Amino acid sequence: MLLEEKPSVRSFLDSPEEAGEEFPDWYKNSRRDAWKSFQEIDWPKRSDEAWRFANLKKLSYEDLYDAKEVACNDIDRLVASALSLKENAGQIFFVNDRVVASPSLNEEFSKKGVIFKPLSQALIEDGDLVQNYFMTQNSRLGSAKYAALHRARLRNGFFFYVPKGVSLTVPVEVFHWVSGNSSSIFPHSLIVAGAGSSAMVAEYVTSIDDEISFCCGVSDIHGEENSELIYLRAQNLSEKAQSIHLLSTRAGLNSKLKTFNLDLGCEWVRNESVSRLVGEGASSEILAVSVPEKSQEFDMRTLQLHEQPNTSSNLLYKNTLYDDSKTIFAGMIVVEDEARHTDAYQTCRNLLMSDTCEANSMPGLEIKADQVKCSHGASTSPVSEDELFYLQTRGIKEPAARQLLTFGFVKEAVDCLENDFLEEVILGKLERRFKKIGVK
Amino acid sequence: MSTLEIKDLHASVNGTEILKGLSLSVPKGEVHAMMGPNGSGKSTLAKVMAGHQDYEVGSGDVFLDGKSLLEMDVDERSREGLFLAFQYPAEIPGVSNANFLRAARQARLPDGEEIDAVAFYQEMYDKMAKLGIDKKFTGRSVNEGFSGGEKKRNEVLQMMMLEPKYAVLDETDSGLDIDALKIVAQGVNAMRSEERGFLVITHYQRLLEHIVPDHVHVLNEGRIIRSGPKELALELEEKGYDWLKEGELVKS
Repeated sequence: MLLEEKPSVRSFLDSPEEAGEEFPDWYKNSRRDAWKSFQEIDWPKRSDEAWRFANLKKLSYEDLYDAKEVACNDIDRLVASALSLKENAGQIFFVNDRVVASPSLNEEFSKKGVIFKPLSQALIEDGDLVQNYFMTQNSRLGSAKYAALHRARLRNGFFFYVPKGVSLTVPVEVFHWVSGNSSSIFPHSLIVAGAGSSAMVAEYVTSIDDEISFCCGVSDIHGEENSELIYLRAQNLSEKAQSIHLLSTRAGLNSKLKTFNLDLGCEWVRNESVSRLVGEGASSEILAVSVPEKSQEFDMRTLQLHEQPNTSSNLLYKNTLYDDSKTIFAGMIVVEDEARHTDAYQTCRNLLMSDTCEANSMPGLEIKADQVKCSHGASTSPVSEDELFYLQTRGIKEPAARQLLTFGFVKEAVDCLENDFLEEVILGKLERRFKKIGVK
Repeated sequence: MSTLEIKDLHASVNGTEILKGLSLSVPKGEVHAMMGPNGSGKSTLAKVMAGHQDYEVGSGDVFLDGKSLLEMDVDERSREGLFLAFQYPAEIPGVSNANFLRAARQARLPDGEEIDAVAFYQEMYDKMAKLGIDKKFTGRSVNEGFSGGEKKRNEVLQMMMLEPKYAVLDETDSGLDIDALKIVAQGVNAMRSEERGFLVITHYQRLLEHIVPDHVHVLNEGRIIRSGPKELALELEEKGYDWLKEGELVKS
């Protein structure tokens, strides 16, 4: 048997486990404070502007428990079943928020001071460093309650720290699997790119079985001056799962950050992405692709926050909707008083593959500075008849032509990554996805 | 039987009849030019043959080596051997030229048979070189951000890769400068053979200096009003279309 369940059950609405003695005091206090906050903050309501259009009924809490520890004796088989990178600079594997195989990091990089390890270990070994960056970004898009829940209940995740001037030419890779009925996980990803460093991270969140599960994750990315970082998160949980993911990036002076969210699985997804441009000349690229089918609902809220002059941000979200699926995109660009010469773009495109799917787009701008270039746009349409006709006139049959066009539609966002390693993984996952959905 | 034969074709768009009994026969091995003023129905003819859904065929038919084209689906017509080089080719973001051409070639293989990728790429690169197309082109999205000339070259490349029995070139010269025109014409001329027929639709005589036709037809108000040898094109260039239109009036 691949996985063996061990007992220990705690509803995630019960008070969480205390952090062990070995953890730093600040962290123990942080968990306690977070639990207090969680209890004080109201649950989101559909009438809240930040939750407009959201179907909160899809989110049920009563029967969710902290995921149990499972023994995993065939990690190779799990890894083989996942589409992952051909090359990596290091890997960490989690099942139900527990490390299930020895983490690795290329010696060349560990010698240069790169830290890539499970968060539980980093909290103990590099506590002060972690403290500088841990949960320092406020939740701004409606999920303060879930941010508190995450902070109070998190069990693990990873800490990736790239020191000043170090370049990793190959990405590090993090695998999360969730297993068991009603399991909830709280993976935390903390990434710090030091001054002048460059790195790439690929993180996958996947179900082992097709049970109900809940994932409440936080990814915080800090890019110091002149750093370059690319972060991919690919979510393919079971069709019965629910997921909330809070992503934040903080781009320092002349840094370049790129994030890519790929959402395929789950019955219900809420993604919040806050991109702060806090240093002059910083740039952020915020990319996402989702391919919902059946009755999946993906709710995406974004904020591009320009705090300093000469900063740029570019957001491109692409959704291909099948059957009765639903997407919600609410994007906001805020240009603060100081942030002159901002360049900010926001585009959400929806491709409708059925008459019964529903795509909601709510783009927004708030500009307080002068001399700013900003644009936002949203489009929603079925496959273009002109494009389809053109392909068919070359002998391509209609189903194959539709597949080419739908794949091309999402590929445009993938191409923006300009990174062969990550593009290959994403395209592989998308190919598998479209194949599974088939021609509808 | 080895002809592309248009028989008394009537077609309309949005309820307006554009083609009003057009008949024409293009045997294999010949290049026929179709000229005519704006609005005479040249592009309509091309779209009807390709099977565009906006065009409704009232009566008549088009036969490809004896088989009715109008009975076939759009993609079937292509696989049967018809090629239309578009006046305004569609842009397809996210689909690379290589994947597009590969899918078109794959569609011609029996189910279960996979294309030989190495041979395919080699052939594509060779044909691109003949048209002066850069290698980077294969990774670019189909026609996206292409100049007019690049789009037309791409149409000719597709024709070279698909090796149709009959090719209809719709205003392939529009948007081309003289150098691009020569390259495109060379591509077409290289494909002229006893096994292939061409219908070259053009508004100007200029293209026909480079792709010399065997026959020239003049289309006006949805019907062919004059057919003749290649010299007819020169005469048209000199006298304009009104000369023929007036003649038509006198005749009727």
